[in-house]
Amino acid sequence: MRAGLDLGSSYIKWVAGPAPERVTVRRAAASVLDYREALKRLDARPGPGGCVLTGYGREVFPGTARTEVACLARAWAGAGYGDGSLVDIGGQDIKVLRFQGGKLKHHKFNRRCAAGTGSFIESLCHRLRISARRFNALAGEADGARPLNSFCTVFAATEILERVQRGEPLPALARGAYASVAARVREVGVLEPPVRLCGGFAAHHPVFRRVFAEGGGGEAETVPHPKYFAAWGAFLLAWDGAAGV
Amino acid sequence: MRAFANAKGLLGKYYRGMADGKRPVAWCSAMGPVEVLRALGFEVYFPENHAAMLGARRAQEPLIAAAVRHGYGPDACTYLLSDIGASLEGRSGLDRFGLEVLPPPAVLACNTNQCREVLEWFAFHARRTGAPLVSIRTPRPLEGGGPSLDGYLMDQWRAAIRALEGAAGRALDAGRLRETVAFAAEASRDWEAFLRLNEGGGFRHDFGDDLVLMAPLVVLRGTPEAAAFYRDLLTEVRALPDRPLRRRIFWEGMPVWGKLRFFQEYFPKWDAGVVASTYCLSWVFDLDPAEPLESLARAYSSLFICRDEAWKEAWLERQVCAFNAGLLLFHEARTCHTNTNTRFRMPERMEERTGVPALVLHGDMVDLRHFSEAETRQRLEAFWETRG
Repeated sequence: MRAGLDLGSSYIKWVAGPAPERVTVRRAAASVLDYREALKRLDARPGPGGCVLTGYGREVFPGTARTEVACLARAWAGAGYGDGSLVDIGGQDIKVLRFQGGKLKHHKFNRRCAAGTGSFIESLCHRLRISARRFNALAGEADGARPLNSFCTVFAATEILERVQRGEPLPALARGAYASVAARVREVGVLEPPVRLCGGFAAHHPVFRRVFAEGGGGEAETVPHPKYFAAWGAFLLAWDGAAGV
Repeated sequence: MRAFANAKGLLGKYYRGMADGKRPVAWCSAMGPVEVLRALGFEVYFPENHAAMLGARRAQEPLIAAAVRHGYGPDACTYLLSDIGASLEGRSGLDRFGLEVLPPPAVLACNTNQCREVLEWFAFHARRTGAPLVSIRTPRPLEGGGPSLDGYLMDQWRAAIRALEGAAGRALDAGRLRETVAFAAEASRDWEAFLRLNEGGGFRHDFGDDLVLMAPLVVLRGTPEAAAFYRDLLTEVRALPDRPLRRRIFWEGMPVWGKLRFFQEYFPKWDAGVVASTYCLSWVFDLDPAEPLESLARAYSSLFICRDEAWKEAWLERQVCAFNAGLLLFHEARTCHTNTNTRFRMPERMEERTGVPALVLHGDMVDLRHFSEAETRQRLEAFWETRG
């Protein structure tokens, strides 16, 4: 067995299997404060051999650490994709990677601000006291998006609450929040088609993909198991052996 | 390096010299008319040096808060905010050097060649202390020289000198100015030669070293002590062997004063090092003692920071090539609007122009709330892992 472990700011993702083409385990747990506790819940045992670590917390445990960009690039190649762009919306950042012939050509991150990241919508859900699933369902019900004026995560939640109090429909505002995320993604970097989405945000907010296309981002497809894409890249790197495991 | 101990000794003597109150003290902006002030007999104190010290000591946060409470915007330059905050709170960042209380100014002198902020900053101290403020208003961004600009700048310098003579109670001695400019020119020449030892494949000193070793040029420019210091530094470092280095970085923008150690420890783990920087090369002045005033006016309006984008890009291209840099690392300092060159697409243009990749780090020169070690590492490591 070899494994890839993505220690993200919101979730830990664990991918393992007995061969590079055979993934038998895909598990995730909220990372919150204690990575070790989360690992126990996943029954994951990263060791110095056979596991590649990635994500925000990749240096917490001993072992071979690779950045998410390297793992995403490996996953892109592993999926057999050629030209195109990958958008990874994580808990605290947005990454845009551009590929030619399956090779990474360019990558860019968002600026140092949570607006437009997974935490933006997470924070809105928290303030609105609804789950991510419910937020996604509401956005899916709306005929159109009502844009939000606030850029800041905190003020955006306040704005939604105020506008709901004034009688505006929450579904259209939820869709407007997705439109804000889409606008932030388009700011990060040029997207060469085909565009593919990955990351926890793409997994938990499938309606976002439609809003992204409506807002001028172009048609996008979500990669299989989007939440685990970076962890899968780490898993493939573990099998490559090139990472020194 | 022996030079570190020499610099420490020199700076200690400089600060203690101001504490004794024997000579009137002029407060001067970093790129202000320091040579004129020295030739007029002033001790010279630099609020920007003070702000950098506060940043390096990580003492800035309550001081920034004090300045913001006083009414300054939280997005204003954090050099300005931390120094003004220290003044409001009666704090000194130089107490380790024997300056428990900052020396009161007899006069304040600044040049807007760096930014508008220095003028507002010095105006605060002028209002608070009642000392006269003398400013040289250099326009920015400059495309190049020309007779009308030269004439305007000479008028600005002459008017400033008249005002400073009034504050000093004496006329500027042409011989002393020539001598001061000669010392500044010598120090600057040796400083540049020291920096350029890293050209080609050379690596004898890094950005962290440079930021410490440039201090005498900042605060003692125009003195024989500074000239001697750089003469010795050059001799010492010329004799050192080059260190091997795989990843050569050119740093563009302000330092992150509170994270110098982080970078000095982090870069070697990746066999990387900052071989040169705009910031340190900006302290190279083309001064000519044969025409001291004209060359001062010319040199202080030819700084990187006061030039337009086209000039900066051509200059950066030459440096990236000369230092054989494999990465042009831009620091987007949140509150340094003038010395941040990422906001008008320069990194992308530099990549297109030179073929050398450019990367942007987000931070600030003083306020560490705008800087994240994890994010910085992520950006650099993603770059190195995928592009070598």
